[in-house]
Amino acid sequence: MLYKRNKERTLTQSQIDKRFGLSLVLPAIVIVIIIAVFPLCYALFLSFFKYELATSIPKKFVGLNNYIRVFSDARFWNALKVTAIIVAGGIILQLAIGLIVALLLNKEFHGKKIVTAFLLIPSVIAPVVVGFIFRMMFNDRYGPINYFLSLLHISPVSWLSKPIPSYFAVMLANAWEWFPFMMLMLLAGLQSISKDQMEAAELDGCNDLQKFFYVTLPNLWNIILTVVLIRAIEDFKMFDLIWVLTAGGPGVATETLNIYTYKQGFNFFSIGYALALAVVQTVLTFFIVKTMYTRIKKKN
Amino acid sequence: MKKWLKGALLLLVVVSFVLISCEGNSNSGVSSDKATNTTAEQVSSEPASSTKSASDKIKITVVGDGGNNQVAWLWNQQEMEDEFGCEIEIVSVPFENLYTKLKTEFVGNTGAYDIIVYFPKFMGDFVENGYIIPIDDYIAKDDPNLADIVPAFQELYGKWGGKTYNLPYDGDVLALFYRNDIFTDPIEKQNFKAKYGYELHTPKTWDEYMDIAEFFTRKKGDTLMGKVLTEDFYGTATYGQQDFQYCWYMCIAGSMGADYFDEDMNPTINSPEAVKALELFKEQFKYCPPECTNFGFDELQAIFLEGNCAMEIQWTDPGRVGQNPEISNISGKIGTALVPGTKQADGTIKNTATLAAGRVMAISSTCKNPDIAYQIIRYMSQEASLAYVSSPQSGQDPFRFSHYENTGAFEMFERQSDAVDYLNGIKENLEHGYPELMIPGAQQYLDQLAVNINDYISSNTMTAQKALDNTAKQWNDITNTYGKDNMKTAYKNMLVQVRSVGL
Repeated sequence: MLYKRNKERTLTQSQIDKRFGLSLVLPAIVIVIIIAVFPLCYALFLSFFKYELATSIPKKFVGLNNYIRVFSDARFWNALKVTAIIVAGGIILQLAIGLIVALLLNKEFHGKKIVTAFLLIPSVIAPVVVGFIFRMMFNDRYGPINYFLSLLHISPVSWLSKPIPSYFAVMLANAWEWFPFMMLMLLAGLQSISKDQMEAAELDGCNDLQKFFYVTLPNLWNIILTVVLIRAIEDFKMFDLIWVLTAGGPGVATETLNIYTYKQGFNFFSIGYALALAVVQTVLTFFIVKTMYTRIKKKN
Repeated sequence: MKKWLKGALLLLVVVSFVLISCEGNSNSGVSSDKATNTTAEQVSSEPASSTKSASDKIKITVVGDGGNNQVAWLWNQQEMEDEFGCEIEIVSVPFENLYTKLKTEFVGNTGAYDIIVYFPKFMGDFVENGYIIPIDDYIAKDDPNLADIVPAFQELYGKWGGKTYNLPYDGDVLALFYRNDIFTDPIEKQNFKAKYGYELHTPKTWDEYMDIAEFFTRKKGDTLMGKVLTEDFYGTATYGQQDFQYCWYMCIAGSMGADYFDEDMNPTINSPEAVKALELFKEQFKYCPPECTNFGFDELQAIFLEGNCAMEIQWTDPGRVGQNPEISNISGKIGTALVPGTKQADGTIKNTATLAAGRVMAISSTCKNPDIAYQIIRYMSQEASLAYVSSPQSGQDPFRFSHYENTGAFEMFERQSDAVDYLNGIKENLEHGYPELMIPGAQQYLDQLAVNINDYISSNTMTAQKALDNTAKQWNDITNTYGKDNMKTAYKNMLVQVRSVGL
């Protein structure tokens, strides 16, 4: 009886502690929930309305019409395609450059620390600034990129006014900004590879290429999947760099889902439709991330 | 605890939906009734206390796009504060974000701005939604000398459905600028006549424009005016960026008889005339610098002032800015003319110079002191205007007949004859002004047009017909979304003004 009462008192004390702890963080939790849940609910709610602020017609419930419109909108499918190309192409570029630089930095040489620090600079620049820098770099007439091409007797490229070059322009600018992140993560992975494995591979007669494919790459695989996942999420959200660099043009060649959603919302003020686009985009992102995350987990 | 948190979360979601539902049908914008029924007297009767500053002075907030488009406000700020006994706050917004910023504030009904300086293409949106008030009653009491304002800005960009909402601030229009040294060179004239069979002069029609553009497009090593060229020279240059490219296109399309819609709001932008105009618009790129497809305002002005092309259609700036030898290789050699047109069946030539951008001033419907706000816009549009439209530091262009008569005020011209030529040229273009689409949703309609034109220009597979068919289909979708009857009414309101200037 006495034991039981003591146990109850101990449990009560534990609960009191928990409740005290909870009361301390409760205000923060409530604020976070309000600023996260309320807008989400409101966005979801409005996505079922025809809500055109460019005209004076009142808001009207239209059920799933906005969602039906999304899937029958050619510009949405184009934006989805552009997003996929820019995200996939950008990640491949970032990964390739990041991996090459990481492999180079994995060797010992004079001034390695300074070079490493120097290479990190792009990642700390705001994407808007990167957009402006590359807009000047890619300027057809006055930009240094075309100037250097002309020194090599290569005709100037219309980087920002032709569909294919403009894809590359966006991907290159994005890769320039984010390859250091890949480089840093992969460098950490390279440095964690056991020397024994390398020595064993050497004893087995592996050349450098075989060592890379049979020892280095398998060891880096988990890190690669993780950084690809992180960058995929970030690149899927990319807006500012594209907005400054091409604003989605020429035509709709570089108009990603973000750009299109922004235009619908803040240029055309089609609020209901823009929110339906945003909801579709959120669901898509969720499934892509979920699939990638499951694969990484399985691999591990 | 988990249960507790889940419960709290669920409660919050429920509360959110309840709150949203309670918000119900209340429209956050201002109703259109307010737009049409608000009179000067009604607005004046509102208390002014909420806009009084700490020093008990009435505060008037003015918003517009910043940079050299707002220097005129800064020059006149103190004088207007003294004269009208108020405090004036000037808010700058980036050019490309002006609509978004204004619309957001209007929708939120924040009352942040009393006077807005904006692009007339948004007039339909702002009037139909009741964001700005008519100023006819104020004009009746204190005329800003309306008779002095060029009709394009007074009728087209000042009125909506017969009521006046705006006073002009910046008389932007596209005009043809050309190298008068090249056009008058005897060797070039002789060669041109030998090749095309008529005298070299400023192009009156688009066919002549293309001939002249072709004639002057030369490679490095060729001769121009008897001198060997050290770099490629181009017959013309045009606007290549997506944002305003449609304005350059509409100069051609309008003159060929193309229009945005018919009176029943069916798109006519894919008419045979419009298609022909788009094909011609693309064809001219053969005679432009290769990088022209990416030219915006700055690049287009630079190529001309560097002396690397014979002519170009551009906003009015090259004529004034190009007189400064520090930034121009062709000062004193710039001629200004009416944009080319299309010969009609009766032998006359129809010219349409797009009134691209431009700026007008209006009073917000949330303004608590519209009397003072009106005095301010009247002052800026009337008394102060000659000084700023004639200054190379401001980005504003003439819009009053008196501006064109006061040639002496334009001191950047070394010769008075150049100033006269420039002002006459601009005036002529304004007299043939062609409006941008101004109905509610203009931003979306024009974006679709701009995207499809740019798609066609940058693509090797797209045809002009397909690009404009796409535009027509998308315009129909937009119209149906906004409600065809609403849009028909709005377009009719725009047509009232278009017809009033004889277009």
